[in-house]
Amino acid sequence: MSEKNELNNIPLDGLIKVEDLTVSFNGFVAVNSINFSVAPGEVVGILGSNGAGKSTTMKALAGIIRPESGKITVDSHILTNLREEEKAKRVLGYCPDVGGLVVGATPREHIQLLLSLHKREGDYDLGLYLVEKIGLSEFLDTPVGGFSHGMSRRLSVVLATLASEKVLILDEPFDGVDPIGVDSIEKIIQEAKASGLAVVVCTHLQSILTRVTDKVVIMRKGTILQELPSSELLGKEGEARYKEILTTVAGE
Amino acid sequence: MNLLHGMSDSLDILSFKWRSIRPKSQRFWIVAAILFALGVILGTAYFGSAFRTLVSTPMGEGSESLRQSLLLFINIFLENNASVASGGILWALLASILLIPLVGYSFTSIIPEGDLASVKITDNHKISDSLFLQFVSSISFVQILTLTGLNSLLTIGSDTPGLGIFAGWALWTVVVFATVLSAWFFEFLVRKFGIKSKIIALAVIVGAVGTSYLVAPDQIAGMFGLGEAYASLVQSLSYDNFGIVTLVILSLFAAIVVLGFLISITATKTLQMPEKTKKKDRSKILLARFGLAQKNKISGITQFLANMILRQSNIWKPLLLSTVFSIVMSVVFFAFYQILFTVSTLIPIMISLVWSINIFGILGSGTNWLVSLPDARKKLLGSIVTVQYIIIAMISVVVIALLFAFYQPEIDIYVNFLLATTACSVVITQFAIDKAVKNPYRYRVHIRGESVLPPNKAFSYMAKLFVIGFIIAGIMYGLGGAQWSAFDLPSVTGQIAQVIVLLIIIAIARFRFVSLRRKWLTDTKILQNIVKTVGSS
Repeated sequence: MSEKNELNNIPLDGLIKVEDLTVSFNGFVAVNSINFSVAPGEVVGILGSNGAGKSTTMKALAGIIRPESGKITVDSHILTNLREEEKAKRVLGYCPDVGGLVVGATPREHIQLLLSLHKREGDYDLGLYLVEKIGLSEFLDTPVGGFSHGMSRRLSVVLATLASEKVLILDEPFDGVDPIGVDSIEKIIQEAKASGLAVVVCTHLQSILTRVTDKVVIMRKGTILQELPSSELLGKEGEARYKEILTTVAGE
Repeated sequence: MNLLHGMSDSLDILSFKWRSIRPKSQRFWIVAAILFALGVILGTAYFGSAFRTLVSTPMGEGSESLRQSLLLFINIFLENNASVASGGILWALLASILLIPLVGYSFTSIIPEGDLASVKITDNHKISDSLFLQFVSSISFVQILTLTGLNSLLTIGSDTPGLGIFAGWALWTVVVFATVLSAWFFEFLVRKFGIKSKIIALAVIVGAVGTSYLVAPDQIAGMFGLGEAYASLVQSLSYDNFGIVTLVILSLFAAIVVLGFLISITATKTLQMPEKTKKKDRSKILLARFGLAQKNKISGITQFLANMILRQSNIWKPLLLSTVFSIVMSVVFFAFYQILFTVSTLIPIMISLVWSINIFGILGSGTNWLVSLPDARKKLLGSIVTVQYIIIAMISVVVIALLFAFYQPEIDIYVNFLLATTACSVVITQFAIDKAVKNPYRYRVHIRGESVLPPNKAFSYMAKLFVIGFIIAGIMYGLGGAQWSAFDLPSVTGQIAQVIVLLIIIAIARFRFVSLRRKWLTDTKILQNIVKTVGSS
């Protein structure tokens, strides 16, 4: 029987477990005591208004920023110290919300560095395959500083996918991406799910998110307002319900 | 005149930039930095007077030998070295007028162009922006300090040194205008005839210097008599020679007006043409040339970072410029200790300014991605510092090799240069990486155009690094019994003392680096601050 958090009644087993997570910057509480979990083969979406704390949550999951309190477990590694963070980083792939690429380097160099640090140089061809799949093969040796926003996003998704062995964290992967690119990224998420990866996707694009995720966590001002199956947010009705959740709680 | 029209827009942009400074307390530090810079310039202007007071004031028996040394120094300087020093500085000014625009100039606006897209504004502000940014650039600050210091020494015997110093400041203004004109002119050539015109211009300049060296090697240090003429002219400026004073000041003022007019015309014509886009990715050629073609596997962060340097012109161009400057100064001026002293300090400072001190601005939001990779956080600082040391070593080896090829100087010179450069590099690198980690600067560097640091920040860092560098280099050269013009700095216990001091410096820097790395790995606020400052923009 799975462990449950009393407040939100959320099952807390899974590859990713977030328990009472609080993150603050110089006294400003960006994320306030949130709980959720992601099981293997599950895709969880995070939706929310601007400044809801979505990207901060994603950064904490990726081990970039450490929580002030609470606990994040990734593949049974609790992210409270460097050693555990490093172990967790071996199994996760992260696509940051903005850029997330080193402007002076080429896609090929990004892939090579990633594989070298993951000690998986043998997967180089897989990296090239993913780049081809996302439509960036001809730019393999072009510094990413010259890329459009959409191209950068696509490459960031590829890098995260390549790195992820068990956990895939995608922050705004669809932002500024053309419809063909969106299709490719959706396919990548579906394949990750089919391979048993725990996937967390954060975006403002509700219609896409509900299509690719199993459940959605709605955040506002650093807290979780609701967690519900993605099917409940599908279509126009779902859109209206999402707005209602945001405005009802906002107007309380 | 478009330059004058642009000035009004530039003032508006400056005023907007000033009002957008947050937090407001930052304004206090900017004003303080400006006042400090003015204070340094004024202090340098009084250098000669202070020197004169020192040598003319009777001292106790113990200090009498120092007084005699100072007196000897100033006599030898005025009689023998004034023209060479003046020639050297004139060469450096000419080199900066021609080489900065040729290899490292970028037409950045006071506010990035993209941020002005929604504002209805003509291109005229770009003309005055270029002038303003050149005035406040770190290289200009070094120029005015050098000219002020030189003229202050040249007028040490004069009762009215102010005139000579004022003439130096007027000359500096001319140099700034000339540099901007040269920059617009080369940009005009590139837009009109392509990038090859720039390469041809560089070849012509190098050819001219080379030919001069072959034709009259003895004359080159004194700039073919111009150094002597300059020194005499500055020394002759006094109220008794009112005619000469008026002529000099009017000539310089006229030069400024003419240069301003030429800038306006050249820049307007340049801006009417579309910017030249590169057809080829030149970085590929460069990387291939350095044996780092893309198909070579990246074996780690160090190689990843090194490739970036070769690819980003805003990093490698200033490095190339400082290397050329170091080589020219060392070779042309016969490996004088003063020059080597400067080179030992200049090399690590330039590398710090274009690399380590704003490394997170260079990595930008890529920082988020990098630190999400396993072991990257552990290796990152070490790799940044390693890359910096590799570049310093490469430039130093080139300087030493050329010195050897030209002069075969005594082994002591090599040892002093090597030890002092190592000591300066260790201290300056540590300062730079410490700054980058603990106090990251909110300035993202893009692959094209922008400098690694904005001029005001580069200027304040440069001032600090110069102070640090000069103290360290002074200690090292001093302990090595180096000759500083007429000074025979006593060798305490020869080079053993130098090595001991160097080892102490390395040990302290190492200790500080290890502490910094520990903090970087364990203090959550440090990475949070970097991510907030540069990673999320």
